[in-house]
Amino acid sequence: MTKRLMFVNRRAPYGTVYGMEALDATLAASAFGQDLSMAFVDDGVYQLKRNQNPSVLGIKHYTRTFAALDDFGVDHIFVEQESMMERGLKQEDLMEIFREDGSDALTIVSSSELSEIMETQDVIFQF
Amino acid sequence: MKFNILVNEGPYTHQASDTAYHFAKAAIDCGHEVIRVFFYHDGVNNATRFASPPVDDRDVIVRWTQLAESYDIDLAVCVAASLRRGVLGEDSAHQLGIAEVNLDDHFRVAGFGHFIEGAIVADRTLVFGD
Repeated sequence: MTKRLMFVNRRAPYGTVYGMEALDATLAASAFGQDLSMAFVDDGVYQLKRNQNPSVLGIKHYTRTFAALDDFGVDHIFVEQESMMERGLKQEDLMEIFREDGSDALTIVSSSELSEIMETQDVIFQF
Repeated sequence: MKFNILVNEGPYTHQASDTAYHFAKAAIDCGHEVIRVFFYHDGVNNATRFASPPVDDRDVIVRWTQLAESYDIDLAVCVAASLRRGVLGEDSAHQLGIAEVNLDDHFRVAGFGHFIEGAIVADRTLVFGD
């Protein structure tokens, strides 16, 4: 039985542990051979910002691992366009995440498109 | 229906654990099955046997243990989250050379994968917390 599992990130990368925990949870889920995706909405879009340097805070640079998400079976990473616009973020402000075949794993989607994608999921984990 | 439950908040500050408990009990009373309650983040603090609330307040931890006893429910605490917060089962305490075990024995320590497995097996996964 394969289920579609989506991990939704709503919070900024630092300030709370949720972003880091969401990544850990996603990696843990990768062991189960399910259909995995991640979504970034609200302040969660800041997790994808390029050139982060949390070492000045003494905090683990966990977002570096996003580049390896394809190895963990995370096929799709959705970013909500409205959240980016509200925060003045453009596509070039975000890190690049590629699949093994070289295609772009990051997809910027509108709020309504993301709703439709969420509708097709079996389980949504929100962080 | 089979329910898989996640509790993300500790007791008393937040109502999430209370609501999860009431939901679980109501679901069972209606003939549904709760396959697992998984305690994650600060939710692992629902599993300490040292909690001593005043007598005029509900005992959140004891309520969970009674539910587990009555209906044989699997209460699982996340291993990484509980180690971070000093909620230690026998194995962890032994490994760390700490004499006291504060994990109530109705709870077991489990990897987050057990929660994912629950989500795959269950019909619905419910998350309690912000």
